[in-house]
Amino acid sequence: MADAAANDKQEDRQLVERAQEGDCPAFDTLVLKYSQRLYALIYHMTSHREDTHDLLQEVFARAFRNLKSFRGQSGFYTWIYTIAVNLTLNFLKKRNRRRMLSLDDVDSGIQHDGEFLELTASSDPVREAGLHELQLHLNEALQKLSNDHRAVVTLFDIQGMPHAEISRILKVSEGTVRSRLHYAHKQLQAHLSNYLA
Amino acid sequence: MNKDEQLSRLLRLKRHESPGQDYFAGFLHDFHAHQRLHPAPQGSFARTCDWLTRASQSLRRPALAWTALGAAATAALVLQLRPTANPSGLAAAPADPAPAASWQSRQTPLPAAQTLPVSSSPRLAPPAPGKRRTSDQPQDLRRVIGSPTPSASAMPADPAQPAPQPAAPR
Repeated sequence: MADAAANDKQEDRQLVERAQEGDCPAFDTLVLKYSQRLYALIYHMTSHREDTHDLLQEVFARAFRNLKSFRGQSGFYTWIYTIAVNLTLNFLKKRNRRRMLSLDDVDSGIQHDGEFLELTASSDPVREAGLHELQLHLNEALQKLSNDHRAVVTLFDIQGMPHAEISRILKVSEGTVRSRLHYAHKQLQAHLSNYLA
Repeated sequence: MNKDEQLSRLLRLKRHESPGQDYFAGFLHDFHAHQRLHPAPQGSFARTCDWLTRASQSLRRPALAWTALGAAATAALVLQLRPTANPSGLAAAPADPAPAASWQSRQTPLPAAQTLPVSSSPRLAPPAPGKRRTSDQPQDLRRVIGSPTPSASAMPADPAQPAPQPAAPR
């Protein structure tokens, strides 16, 4: 596991070095590698797919512009995640009024997801609610959180990132990450009480 | 299963929301188009090169533009590297306009023979006791200069007047 992460970092470093020397296909490889994860990060923070598309392009454009200044003190992964989170938070600050949700489809894989099957088996409300309704309520509940709290929930609960990594990306202490997470969970439990037994 | 775990499981279901693989296949193409529409700002060197290239292309004879540029650059280099004859001698002057000699002259005391003690000057000598100051006698130097706050102790004591007595302690 640790070896795989180290190899991943090494591969990123080589790609970044090549891109810094002007090798555009190397940067394309980084775009292809991270676009899916960064899309998910931005999408779960905005709940708006068109905004997500625009922001994702801006993230990679900014990374490309600033690639020369990337010295490799942190991993490329942390660096580009930081760009994405900061850009999205700035965007959300400017977007004062909450826009209508513009949601992606739920992929068919959810029907085979063990956790989903377990939830539908054990929880009547989840079973009774249609998939679309559940998705809508989840996104609405997330949008009721503050931007900072939503960022932590997205990184920890949805993307499965450890506290230490989140603290590096958000440039706050691990204690702050845990505190935000605790507060956000309390709020989400209140908003989604119908789905929690 | 407590509420926190249930909530975490619910939130993990959001991982299944995705735009589909087709989206990511086309994203790189969209990104390239975005980069062409919004090119990254270049450095000044790259901007200059671009400007020169465009300028030379707009001319009928591009080689002429580059030749002119080369000639201008050579001329600037020659002017920069040419040894200065220094006709005015300004370069030889030290940066500090106050020469050491002037500072030195302030420090060197005049010979004793060239100095005149103020007290021995007849024009500045106070009038003799009991005699009034005449018009040909100059006034006290401090009055001429105009001391802002002449205090009693600073003024020369008139020997004809009795010295002020300090107030007796109560």
